[in-house]
Amino acid sequence: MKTHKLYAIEGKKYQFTRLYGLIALFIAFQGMIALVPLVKLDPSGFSNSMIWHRIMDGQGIISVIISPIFLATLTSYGVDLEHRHNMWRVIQSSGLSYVQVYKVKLLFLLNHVALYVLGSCLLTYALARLKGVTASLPLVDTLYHVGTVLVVSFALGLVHYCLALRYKNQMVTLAVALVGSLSGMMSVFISELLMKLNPYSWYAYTVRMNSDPSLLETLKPMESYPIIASLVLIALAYLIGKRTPIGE
Amino acid sequence: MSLLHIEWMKLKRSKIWLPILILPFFSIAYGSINYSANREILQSQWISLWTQVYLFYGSFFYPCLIALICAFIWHSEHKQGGVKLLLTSGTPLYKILFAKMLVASLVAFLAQAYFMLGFFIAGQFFHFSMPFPKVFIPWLLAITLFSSLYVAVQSYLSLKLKSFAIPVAMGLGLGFICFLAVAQGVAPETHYMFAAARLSLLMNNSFESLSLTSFEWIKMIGYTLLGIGLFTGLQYKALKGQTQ
Repeated sequence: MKTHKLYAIEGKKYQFTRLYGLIALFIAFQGMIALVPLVKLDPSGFSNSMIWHRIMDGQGIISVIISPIFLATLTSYGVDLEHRHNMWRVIQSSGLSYVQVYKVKLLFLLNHVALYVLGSCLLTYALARLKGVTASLPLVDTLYHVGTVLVVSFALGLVHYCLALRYKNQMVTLAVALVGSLSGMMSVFISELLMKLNPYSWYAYTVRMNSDPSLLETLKPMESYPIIASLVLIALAYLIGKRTPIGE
Repeated sequence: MSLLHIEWMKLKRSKIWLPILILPFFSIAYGSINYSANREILQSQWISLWTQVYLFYGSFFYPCLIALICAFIWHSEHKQGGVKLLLTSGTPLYKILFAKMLVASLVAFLAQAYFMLGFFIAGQFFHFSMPFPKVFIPWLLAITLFSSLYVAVQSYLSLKLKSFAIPVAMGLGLGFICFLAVAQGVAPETHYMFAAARLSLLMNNSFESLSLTSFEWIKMIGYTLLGIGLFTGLQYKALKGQTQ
């Protein structure tokens, strides 16, 4: 069967499910949290472009906590149907190759990860404008922020997709996400090395405002590390996922 | 065999104990490392250590852990028509619900006790000159009791939604909303409605001057009981709906 047909079947399966409700909930949630830095801020600062960095920094930190749980939930939801009704056996006996189904499901899930990331960024932008932020958006910095969050989310999404496929008990992927986001958050505060080693903390590379009072209003340089490391992780997880025994 | 015992037996040999053991351990380990790196700034010994180990865990991950426990309890029923089997057993519905909520609360209590033990052990490595503030124990116990509201909410979500993952994700959302509502002081009543989140925040920010009036306690207990009643009622309605 052709890939686009399989993709259409996948889409139909989730047409009237809670999948889109879940994505909308998390997008709304991210948007709501992004407004928190604006609540107690003097509106006179709304015309300074640093306000956008403040918002993006907040989003970066919040992503460390929220995104792993979202990604684990999304990927778990995406394979739970097959696990519950033993559909993997049906798929195998129908002559479809596992790798093809694996790829289509992955594409479907990553498209929804992108929907979540872009949706939450757009909502945050719209809410900030509504709140009265008049400063122009720093385009290159925004692209770096969105790109990094997107690539890190793809990498973690793929890791959780593999876990959700591997273990029928969906508690495993969710427990890993919980521990991952907690350790990711703590790694940010502990050391640069730990942050580099823990993929769950890579979102924090998008935090670029200096916390040192003497360096306020200056930005840390953009780092290519989270993007490169995520791409490596994506390649590794993809190869491992292709050979993953399902639903044990 | 009592219902409570049956529910306990179902969990006894399950994998639910793994996140319960790992999550508090990670929180204490990371918090202690962070504390040891910042000892010059954090000078209130046990109290400073607490601020490093409990804030993220208590605010976001503990509610999520409760969600995980409740989802696990109900998911095993959703699989292979277990809920229908429960309904045909002839046991009153409220007894089934209370047994499940009580076991979830008991597991949450054990997780908190384990956290406190881990915190006590971690503190021994720092050789504090002040003795261990035993007052931490009743405050954490109060948080645990108030978090019964989370148990009721999550139990309802896990009963209604057959997916394992979605109630857990909503648990994170619930933890966040409660935390933000209390931290930002959205409305005065939110301080009492989300008592567990409020106490967690107070223990973190102003432990040395932490005290509440009787009126505040009564309001917090009242809101928690009201919430538990409401969500137990919703669970009862949802379960009864499945019998028809």
